[in-house]
Amino acid sequence: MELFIDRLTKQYGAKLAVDRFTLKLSKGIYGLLGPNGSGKTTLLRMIADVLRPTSGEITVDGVDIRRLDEAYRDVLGYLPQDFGYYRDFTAIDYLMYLSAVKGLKKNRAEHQTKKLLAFVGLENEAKNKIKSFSGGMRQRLGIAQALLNDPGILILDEPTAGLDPQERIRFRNIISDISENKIVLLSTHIVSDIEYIAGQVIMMKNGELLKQGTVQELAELVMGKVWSFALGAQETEAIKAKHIIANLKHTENGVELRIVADNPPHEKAVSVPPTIEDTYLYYFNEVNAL
Amino acid sequence: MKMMLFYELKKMFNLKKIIICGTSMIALCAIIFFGRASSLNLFENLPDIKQKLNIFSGEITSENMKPILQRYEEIINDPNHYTEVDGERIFTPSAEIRTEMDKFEYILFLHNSINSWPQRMIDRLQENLTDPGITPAQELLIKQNIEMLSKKGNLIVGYNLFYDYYNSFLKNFAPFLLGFLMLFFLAPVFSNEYATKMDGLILSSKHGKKGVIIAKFFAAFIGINAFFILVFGTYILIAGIAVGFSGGQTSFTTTLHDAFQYVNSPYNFTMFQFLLFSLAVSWGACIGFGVFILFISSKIRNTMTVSAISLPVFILPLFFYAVDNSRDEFTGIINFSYGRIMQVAPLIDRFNGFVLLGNVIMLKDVLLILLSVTTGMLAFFTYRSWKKREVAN
Ligand SMILES: Nc1ncnc2c1ncn2[C@@H]1O[C@H](COP(=O)(O)OP(=O)(O)OP(=O)(O)O)[C@@H](O)[C@H]1O
Ligand SMILES: [Mg+2]
Repeated sequence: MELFIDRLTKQYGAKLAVDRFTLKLSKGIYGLLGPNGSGKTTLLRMIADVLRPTSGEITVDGVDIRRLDEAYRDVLGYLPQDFGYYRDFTAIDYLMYLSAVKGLKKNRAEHQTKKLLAFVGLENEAKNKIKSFSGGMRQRLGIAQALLNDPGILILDEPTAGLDPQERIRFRNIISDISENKIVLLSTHIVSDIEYIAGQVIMMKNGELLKQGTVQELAELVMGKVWSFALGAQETEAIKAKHIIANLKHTENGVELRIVADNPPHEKAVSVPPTIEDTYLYYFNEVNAL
Repeated sequence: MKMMLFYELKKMFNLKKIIICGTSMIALCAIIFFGRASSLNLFENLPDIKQKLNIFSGEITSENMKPILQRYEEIINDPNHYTEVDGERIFTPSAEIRTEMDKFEYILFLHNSINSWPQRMIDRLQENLTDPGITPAQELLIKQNIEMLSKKGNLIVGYNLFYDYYNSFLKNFAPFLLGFLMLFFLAPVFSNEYATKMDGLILSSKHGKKGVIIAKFFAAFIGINAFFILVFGTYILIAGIAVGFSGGQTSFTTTLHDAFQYVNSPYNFTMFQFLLFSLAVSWGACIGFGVFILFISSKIRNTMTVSAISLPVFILPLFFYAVDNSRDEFTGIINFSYGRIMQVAPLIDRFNGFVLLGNVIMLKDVLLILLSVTTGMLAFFTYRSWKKREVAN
């Protein structure tokens, strides 16, 4: 199966939220990285068939998804960034309802519901109303519903939001486990979510595709631009104002700095091997949360 | 589909809502019935009323009425019932005779006023026909009216108090109860999906654009039927048990408490036919208003706003009619409303038609056709606005 996004554009008034975005996806995990407002959600909504593009098209094996209609959504799993639930539904009700909408037969729906609740660690809360769930539990329930129909195309918009570090690791493992023979596209602005599991990373900025490649390839984009050195506390302030700080650690001999810059920020700076996080900072000029 | 329908119903109704609304509707129906009953001293007077309505059963003809008229004249002409006061003869019957005469009162009223009303209207219309200024269209309408009136025949009378109460419920309370139930349960059907942000999940699912709509419509249909059965069923049961169900064969213009309400009607129903007809029309208007609410709900994400838009559409025509029904052009317009159609009376309480291409078209038929067409269209638009919904917020 090949998902092809062809010059996809979404315009809100004068604002181009997604701008001629082109990407070919075949099976594997794709990490969509971008800062707030870069258009990730807008892009994923269009792929999930809940938002009409202003122009461009999305095809699966050459057929427009609007033509495929139900056949497309039959193989689709989607976790919106900000998704809903019915307060008075139990976890089971919720998954059974969405199973029905996804066209699962009753037996399969029951089987999948049970399996996925265990999969996301909610088997003990299965009969509790969703309104009593914590944010993380809801998020896990959201992940479970996206998997109900065993989708060939899985679209996850910031799936790890609201998860604690332990849950986040668990989530990464889940995605790794199920990604075989699937197209998984997940957005995040947390590099570590995808660093270890994404085969391909797509960097998005201002609605456009900025860079695409493996984690390794993207890290290498800033080869020779990542610097490390230690300074006294006084000098650090001046450096901080001028440069992108990747890391900053207070030690006994002063402050140890990791800086992303085209040129050496200080005579003591030595070039160090880059990570994809450095690339993120270099292009988005934004200190990453976590 | 069965599973989807089940969950749509589950979203629409929960046990708490069902119990609260169910019991309050039953209570309201009881209050409405017993309220009217007690304001008319029904239970005290029931034996009298029964006698009054049963004094004669069947078709009113001069032949049939003879014994009653005879007896009445007998009393009137009996000199024993008169006393002389200052040279004047004054009618002073005994209490017994007075009571007996009271019993004749209603049947004589039906005989003298209601039964002869169509003929008197026909006479007046005939007179209008001779007006030299009459247009061909007016002439056509009057002729049609005369034709319908002349088919009305004599009144069939009898004890039919149940229909009296049904009638008053249909016109005064049923639309409000049904309207409220529909607003309460149907307004959230789509808007709540938007408000809870379930729309993204549903619309990205296989049957999320089409199957869900069918399930929602079906659930709404089940709901409307349930409301309808709850409201009318409860009232009919209470009223029927209290006063008896009999009277179905009597003419629908013979109610004890408001005999004039359909006196101008050119239609000729028995009470039972009227019951079936009015229930069918009310039901149709409920379906229509239900679909209207669904349509508004499919456009707006705030359930309160959905209600705030739908409520006046329903209530205002009823309100304006109650405040001022003297101006014909105005009531003519508000009759094109869900609430007024639900009351049924505007469809049949008088001759209401117009001429189109040389044919007389009855307003009743236009209203019913319009109701079906708009309901079909709104259902289609609802489907479209859900299907084409863009999740962007
Ligand atoms: N419905 C809308 N109307 C107008 N502008 C919108 C709408 N939705 C999104 N935008 C704009 O489009 C741009 C992209 O938004 P989008 O939500 O896709 O970004 P994002 O990458 O998902 O951000 P985040 O990381 O915060 O989730 C933003 O500038 C946003 O303000
Ligand atoms: Mg987003």
